[in-house]
Amino acid sequence: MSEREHVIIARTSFSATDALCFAASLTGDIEAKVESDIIYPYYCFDATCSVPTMVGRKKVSLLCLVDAINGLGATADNFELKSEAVDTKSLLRGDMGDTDAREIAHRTVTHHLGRKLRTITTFDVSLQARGLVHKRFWIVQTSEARVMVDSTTGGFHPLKLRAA
Amino acid sequence: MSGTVIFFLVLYYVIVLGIGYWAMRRGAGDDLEGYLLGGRDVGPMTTALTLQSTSMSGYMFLGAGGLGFAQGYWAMWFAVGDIGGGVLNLSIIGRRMRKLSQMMGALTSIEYLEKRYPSAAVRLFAGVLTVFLLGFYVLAQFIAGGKGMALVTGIPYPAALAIAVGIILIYTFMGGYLAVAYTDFFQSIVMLVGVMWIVIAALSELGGLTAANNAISNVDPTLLSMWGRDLGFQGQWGVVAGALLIFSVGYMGWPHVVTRHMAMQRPATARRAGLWATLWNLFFVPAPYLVGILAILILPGLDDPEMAIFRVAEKLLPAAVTGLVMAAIMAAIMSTADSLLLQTGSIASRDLYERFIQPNASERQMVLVSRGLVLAIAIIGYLVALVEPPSVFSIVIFATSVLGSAFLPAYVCAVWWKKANTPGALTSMVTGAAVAFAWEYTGYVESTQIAPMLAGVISSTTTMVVVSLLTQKIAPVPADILEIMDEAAAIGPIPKRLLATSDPTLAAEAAAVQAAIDSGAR
Repeated sequence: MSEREHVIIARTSFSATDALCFAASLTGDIEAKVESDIIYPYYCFDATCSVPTMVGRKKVSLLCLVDAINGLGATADNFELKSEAVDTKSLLRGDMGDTDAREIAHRTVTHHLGRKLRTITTFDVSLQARGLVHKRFWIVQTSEARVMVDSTTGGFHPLKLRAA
Repeated sequence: MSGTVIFFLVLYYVIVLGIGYWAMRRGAGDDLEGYLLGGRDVGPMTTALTLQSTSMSGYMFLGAGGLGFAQGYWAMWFAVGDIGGGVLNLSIIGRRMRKLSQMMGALTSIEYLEKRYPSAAVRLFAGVLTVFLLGFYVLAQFIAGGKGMALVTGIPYPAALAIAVGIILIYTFMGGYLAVAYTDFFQSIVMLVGVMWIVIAALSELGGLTAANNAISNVDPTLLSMWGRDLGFQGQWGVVAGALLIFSVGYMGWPHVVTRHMAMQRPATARRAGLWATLWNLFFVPAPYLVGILAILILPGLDDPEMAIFRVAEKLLPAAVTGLVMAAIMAAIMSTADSLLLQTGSIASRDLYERFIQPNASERQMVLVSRGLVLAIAIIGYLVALVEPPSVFSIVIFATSVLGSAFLPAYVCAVWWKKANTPGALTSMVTGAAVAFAWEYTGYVESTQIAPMLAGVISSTTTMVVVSLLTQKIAPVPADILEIMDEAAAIGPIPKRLLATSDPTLAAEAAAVQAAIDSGAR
């Protein structure tokens, strides 16, 4: 019997059935099936920043996720969180510390703002940690490929068909 | 310039500012956050036109016209390369670089080079060379902006140059929502319509293209040939190849252009945007060269060939249209200068200062370094542009030749060749830059009839291949990079339509999930 563990996880917007239909429509494979789910860890930060606009500086809030396995940062749309008991076999674990994650988040947000707003200025970024949060990815097996579907955004990425 | 031209020029900016102000009042914070998060789906057409309007620099409006005026249809070799350059760039390194840089966690194109070819020397050399050459390229924008401003307002060149440089600096330091969200698309449409209007007006004035060509033939028949005035480039295929390469593959060596791949949308969107960009290029790119050629007849006594487009517009277009078109052209030049300065500042602060001088630099220190460098470039650029301004054409060709020669093999092999290693990349960059530079300034072009770009790319590519192969044993490509390259290449039986619509931002998660599945560790 598999063990379960309580984690903070993003509320699912795309169910296993949605992921299945999505992958089936992409590949045309009506026999596609959901193989499993993966619970992926991120450090989550609420970033409050001051950005220049035509009508003076404005405070904006952004969400920044830092991949706890690869250490990559990205800004993200806000999502709802909940506590859920998940199968430990589905749970991936990262070895990154929260101090490193905070540094990456700060760097990610300042770079992102500079690039998007095309300006050289300070943004006075302040980060509020939400701690470790998780996202569920559905793994759908089709005859042509294995597809990983993000349960919060519906984005997907192909995986190899079989294990190497 | 008439008061009407200036009135409509001012009106253009008032409209643009009004759009920005209205958008800010209407959308408040939500709209801004949506933009910052990339939540706004602008679609492939808007993406393409925005990209085009911000990449069409002073070269297109001064250099291209000047070349057409000086060399006739020979100038079209440059246009041919430019038309397909964007799509070629996207096809060869676009998608793979997007994934590779994402998975390596690289934020700038120079950082990406260091992560792919692990060595501080790679970053140091690439960073210094890029800052130096982008500084040159910005100089071309200053000169273009100053000349345009002088013509439009009628004030003396030194004052016009100071105003242009000042506006570009304010644009760069203030930036903000206005500069990016609503104006680029509008600007690209005005530019396209305006330039096409100039072409049509010029052709109408001359009785059509055939009549114009006949008239040019009477002036100098060699201007109709593909070999330049007085057949100066006849049989010089090495120079022709250089002209074709400079804006086709040359783009792949531009750090500030390849950076765009790192923020690319989904491959399918990018591909459709590429098609729109090519369509836009098909109409837009040959137009400035053609206007320059037609100016031979319209303005036979033109003292500064690089002013051909501005002068033809001034002579043939209604004053109101001239004002609007010139405003859009000036805005495009400033927008390009702003992008270049931001890239230069970012490379100086992040890739050089933070990496090599002050690893724990605060955000404020980084901004100071960026702004300091931008200010230094502005002052030096102003003085150079004032004392002895080189032609916009020669600056752009020089900077593109050296950058393309130095970085083309490094960026292309980074995603396509698993044996490309650090010694290969470093020697390739040094050799490419040195050869292109030497070719430009030692008269080898005349003696060998080979363009600096061609000589540089051949030497850097050969160096990359030979040195990488010779040093495989002492400097193998690290295993983790090879794994990431495999993932970026999406090795495995994955249908192309899946790759085209997949989300590249999930590449790193996919690699981790794949590893977990493969190891059965989950």
